[in-house]
Amino acid sequence: MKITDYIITAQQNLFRQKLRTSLTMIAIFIGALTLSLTNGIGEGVRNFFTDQLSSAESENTILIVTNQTKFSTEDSGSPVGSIPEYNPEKQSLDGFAFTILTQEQCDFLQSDQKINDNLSLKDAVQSVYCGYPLQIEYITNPQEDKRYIADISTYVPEIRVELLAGRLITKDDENAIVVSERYATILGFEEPQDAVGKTVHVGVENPTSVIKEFPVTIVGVQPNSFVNGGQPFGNESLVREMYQYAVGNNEKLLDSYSGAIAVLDSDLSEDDVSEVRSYLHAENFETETFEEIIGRFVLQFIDLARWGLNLFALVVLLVAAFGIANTILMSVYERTREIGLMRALGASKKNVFFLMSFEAMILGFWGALIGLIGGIVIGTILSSIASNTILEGIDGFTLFAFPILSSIGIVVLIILISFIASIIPAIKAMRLDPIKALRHE
Amino acid sequence: MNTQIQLKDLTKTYQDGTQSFTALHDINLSIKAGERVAIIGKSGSGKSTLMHVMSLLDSPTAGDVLIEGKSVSRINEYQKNKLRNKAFGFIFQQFFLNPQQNVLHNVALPLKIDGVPSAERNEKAKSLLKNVGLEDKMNEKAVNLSGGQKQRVAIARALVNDPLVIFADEPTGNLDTETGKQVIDLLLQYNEEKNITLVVVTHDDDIAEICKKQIHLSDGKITKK
Repeated sequence: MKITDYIITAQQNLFRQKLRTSLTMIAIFIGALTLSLTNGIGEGVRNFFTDQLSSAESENTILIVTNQTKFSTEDSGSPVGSIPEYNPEKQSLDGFAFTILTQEQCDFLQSDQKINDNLSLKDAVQSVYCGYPLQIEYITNPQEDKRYIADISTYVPEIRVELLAGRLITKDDENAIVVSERYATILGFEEPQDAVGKTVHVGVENPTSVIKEFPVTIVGVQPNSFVNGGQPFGNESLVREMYQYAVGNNEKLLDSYSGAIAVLDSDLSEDDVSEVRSYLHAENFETETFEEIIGRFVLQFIDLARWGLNLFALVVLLVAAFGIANTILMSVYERTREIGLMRALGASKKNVFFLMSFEAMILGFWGALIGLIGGIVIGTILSSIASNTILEGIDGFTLFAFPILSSIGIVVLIILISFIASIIPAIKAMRLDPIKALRHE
Repeated sequence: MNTQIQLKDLTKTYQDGTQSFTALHDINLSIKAGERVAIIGKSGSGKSTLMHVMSLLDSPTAGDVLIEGKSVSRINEYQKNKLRNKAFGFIFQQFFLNPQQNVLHNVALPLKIDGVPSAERNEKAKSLLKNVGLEDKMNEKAVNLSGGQKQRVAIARALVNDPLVIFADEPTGNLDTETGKQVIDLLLQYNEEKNITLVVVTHDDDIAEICKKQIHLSDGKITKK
């Protein structure tokens, strides 16, 4: 028999028993719907974070601090929730990571030390940015009276930042900052492009508690993002100027950094990168890639949650599988004579087996397809509700995602489950003795 | 004429737990191509078993079946299926049509099993339905036909693969005398025109009459040839 004949015959046989077929299909439908939704939300959340990751130069950019300090997860901030107003009595952002990266250490990173016979630090490291531990008091729009807490860090060109309006900071900029969309909003600009070119003030306190306001120009607006905790970036000379004011004449403080971002040569192999990192570890540095920082905390959790949810859906499908097995078994009993006839007319055992298992697979296919479509419809509706409510303000976050490959994967998986469910009834059909089957009433 | 089917010292025993029942005893028989053969006997005489063994639906306990000189005990399951599918046609007392399927698809079934593309097999099925006079019922569901019409569809199905032999098991058993006669005439016509061997299992003397070779069975033994 031809494969198209199996499919057509199975389809016809299934729809001869419309009620029974529909009832079994409902079970598969529910399983497919659940699986597409649980997997969809997993994909959606995962996509969001991987996008965030790839917007940073994730593989070859490493953060370096000395091993006297550990990375603090709290200082990354959060792009959701409201930005608190400035309160002079209170510290600004929580969890600020104090640092002891000295000028010598920063110089060391840019030196020509040999890592191994083939590699020196200068070859491996393309550029190093040592960041000042600047702590500003507030950011404010002089046209309005509200002041908001913020944290400004040096803009590193290698960290790719997407833009909603304006441009990125260039080498020649003075007093330029890039803010995230939510800062633009609270600073009184309705649309991202309204903020571009506008001057806002950044308040910095010196050691004698005198606050000076630095006028800065917003050159670009980025989407709300986890990169840099959604905090503003400023050009290097601006940040240095503010930092100098903040520490006064304390030379020791002037020469200390919160940490360094080293951009490694993009041609380095994975082995070379780990070579460089273990060399730095031996020199009392701690290193982490962007991927590791976000990945460690977020992606593992997302994947775990996603498979936990999918497991529920698979239990539903397991139950549906017994329904399929039962349906096919009934079909075998009902069509015993027909099977006997086909055997008499020369059909092989294999023909009979596949005729029955195709019936299960077609059943699974339709159930999966309808379930998947239902899941996509429900997921899309829920996504748009979520974007307008709980996820408002986070751009590029579609709660449910249905990539084509995993959608096909779901359908194929359910067809496979249906096939497995049909094996026992199909073997039973295959083993029928044609003569006895023909006598069957 | 060549010997087409030959049975040599054929015995068939059914084992049911400790009890055994011998349905066929030491049968020796040969059928030539184009012959008309009637297998006659009371119910329980073993005539259906004989036909099943001859048509490779069942295998003998002892002895051998030779198809065109070739021993069946030496060919595998796949070749037996192929032989039944391509060289034999089957007609049953209860017609065995798929009631919910249309007449055309019922007739084309052996070709579908053989893997013939659907356009080709439908064409062939159509021409056979024309021959049995049921072309206008082509798209009708089989369940809606009368008994005589159903058996004519079954004949068309038995002929669709251009068989060498047709095995008919009580083909008129469920039909009235008049329609039974039409069905037999149709079978005779194919036997004569196309030289298709006809093996009919029957207890109807009128049908037995038209067959040159008559095999009388009683308690699994041939009593008269």
